[in-house]
Amino acid sequence: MVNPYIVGKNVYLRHPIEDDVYGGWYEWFSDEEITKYLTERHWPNSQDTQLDFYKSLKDNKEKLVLSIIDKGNDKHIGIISLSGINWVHRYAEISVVIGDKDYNHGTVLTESFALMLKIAFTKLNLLNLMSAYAESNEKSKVLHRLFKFKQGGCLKNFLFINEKYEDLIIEFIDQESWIERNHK
Amino acid sequence: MIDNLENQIKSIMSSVFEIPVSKIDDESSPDTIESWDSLKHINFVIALEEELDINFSDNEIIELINLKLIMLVVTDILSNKK
Repeated sequence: MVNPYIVGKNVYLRHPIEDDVYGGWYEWFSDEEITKYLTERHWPNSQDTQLDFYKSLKDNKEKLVLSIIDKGNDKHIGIISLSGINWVHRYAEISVVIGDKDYNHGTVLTESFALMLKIAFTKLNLLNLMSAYAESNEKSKVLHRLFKFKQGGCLKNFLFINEKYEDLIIEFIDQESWIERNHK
Repeated sequence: MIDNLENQIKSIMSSVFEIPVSKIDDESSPDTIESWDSLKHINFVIALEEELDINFSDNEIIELINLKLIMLVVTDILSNKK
């Protein structure tokens, strides 16, 4: 493992490194299938754009972006982030992308999400996490249900996906509920 | 009781992953069951919670990577519930 920030069963999360930019990372955000439900999916990504994004992370305390790494082979397989971190109200928005399609098999998604929730509530001491997803995104819907997010709202016909408008579902989880569920 | 529990979990796995119970053993995992993708994994964990009336912590969710470990985690939760 290289510079792990938090370690799970099959994966660990670490700060992105420049080599990640020259791997598959930038291509994930041009891939039609991977970006189908992302709000920033309409412009193709490039290595240069990815490098700019990577450089923008340095000293950025409003966004925590971590690379998801396979413990077995140190392969960079996805990205998970807390963005819009507000240090006064102590909230942020969580999102995750498993970019390497081989890892859509199995438990990597749930493991990465669980690790980031732990970081948010125990390392950063955030009080609330928000998340938003398209109504037709079944995987996000059940992921949030599994981790006991609560529905916070719904923006009607907010997203344009597959040539039609659909609702954006907003959910949240608070630190107190998370601690209660995880320290039983 | 353990046998009943194992049969119940195998039955849930069979239903979620759409495979016969006879194909499921202790080592069954995403490596051995082709249909065990991330969406089905989430549905499987939710089905375990609902059908066994338990709640997994996040650390426990991370442990659920094959039938042997699932049995250990679930047995531990159920014994602490008594």
